[in-house]
Amino acid sequence: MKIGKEHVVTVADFQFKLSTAEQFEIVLDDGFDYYIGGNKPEFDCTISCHARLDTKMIPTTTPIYTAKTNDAVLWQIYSDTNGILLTVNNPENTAELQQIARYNEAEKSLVVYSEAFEHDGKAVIESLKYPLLPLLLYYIALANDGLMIHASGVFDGEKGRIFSGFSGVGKSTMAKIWHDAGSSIINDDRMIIRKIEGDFWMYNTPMYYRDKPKKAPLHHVFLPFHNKENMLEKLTGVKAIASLMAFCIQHGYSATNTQKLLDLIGELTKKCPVNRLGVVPTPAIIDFIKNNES
Amino acid sequence: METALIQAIANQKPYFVCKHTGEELLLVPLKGDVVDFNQFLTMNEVGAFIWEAIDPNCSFDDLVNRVYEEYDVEKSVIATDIRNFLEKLATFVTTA
Repeated sequence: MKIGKEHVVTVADFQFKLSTAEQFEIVLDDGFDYYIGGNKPEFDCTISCHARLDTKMIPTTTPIYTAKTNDAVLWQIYSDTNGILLTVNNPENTAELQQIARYNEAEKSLVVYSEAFEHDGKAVIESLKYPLLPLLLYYIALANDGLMIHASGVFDGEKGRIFSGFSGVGKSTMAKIWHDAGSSIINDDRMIIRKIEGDFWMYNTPMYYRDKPKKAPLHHVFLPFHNKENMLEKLTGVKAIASLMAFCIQHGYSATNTQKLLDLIGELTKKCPVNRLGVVPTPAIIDFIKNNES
Repeated sequence: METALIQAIANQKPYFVCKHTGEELLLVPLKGDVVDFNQFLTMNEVGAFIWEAIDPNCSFDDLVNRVYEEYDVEKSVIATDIRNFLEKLATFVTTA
């Protein structure tokens, strides 16, 4: 864990500055270890950290978006003239409010309120405790020609490939097969894709485990599914866009953001071919892909 | 019946985002965290033309005439096709 009054964190080439003016220190968990630091002259978001968690800050209006499982609210979004306000519950105990955060896209600022606790004899706050960082990254990415997607990504030294889909389709299995054959795994679960000067790049993001920041150019997109034999079906047009959109992280309350996402995916599918990929999970899938991808 | 279908679709249009690609159109509902692929609707060129033409003030005859002017197919055929299309589209936009 890293503890301090101020941290600079760089994720997917987005640079954030966390600071607090209060007597507490800000703690970042081990997953951030390799992401600390940065050398860009400007910050993509300044994060002001506070140790108050007052439910009176929560608007009495209806949230514009609620993320929930069958029986629990994970987080909610409220909107007003000052931007958006997020209320985030503890994912391990959703009855417990974990953070209240106000994000202002125009000012590139996030103000986070969370309860202080004691760590190694110090009073600390863990402002970016999961899932707040992915929530922030969603907005930062979208504002900068980027998107977040459920995918694993590998780079073989020449080409970058992502395998996108929901849990159980074989994202991690594919990443491991490519890794065993010498490719580097960028990430095996959640990635950021950015368009930079017309090209698309994939990035990992901090996870619960320690991993170095990684990026690689993206050339091919695959949507794997379990099959009796390896097969590949190229998707084009709206079918490619719709298929990929389904696996992007999206908060479907905003027409503006959804349109941005759709347009970016449209560009991505033109630049990086999208294929449905029937998979038998053996090393033979690598040559099959290399011989059949277009 | 057609008027009610047109009204139902027109009322739901603000809750969808569109993406044109070539002559196709993709409709994405404004809801959900990760949207299920089945909640998307793709349309061909004629479907996209009708979707764009629908507004709260247009009548069934307006739609038929506009498609007739654009595609030059028999009006009776157009009317039947549009009626079927509106039924399916209304079901989609009110349940997506």
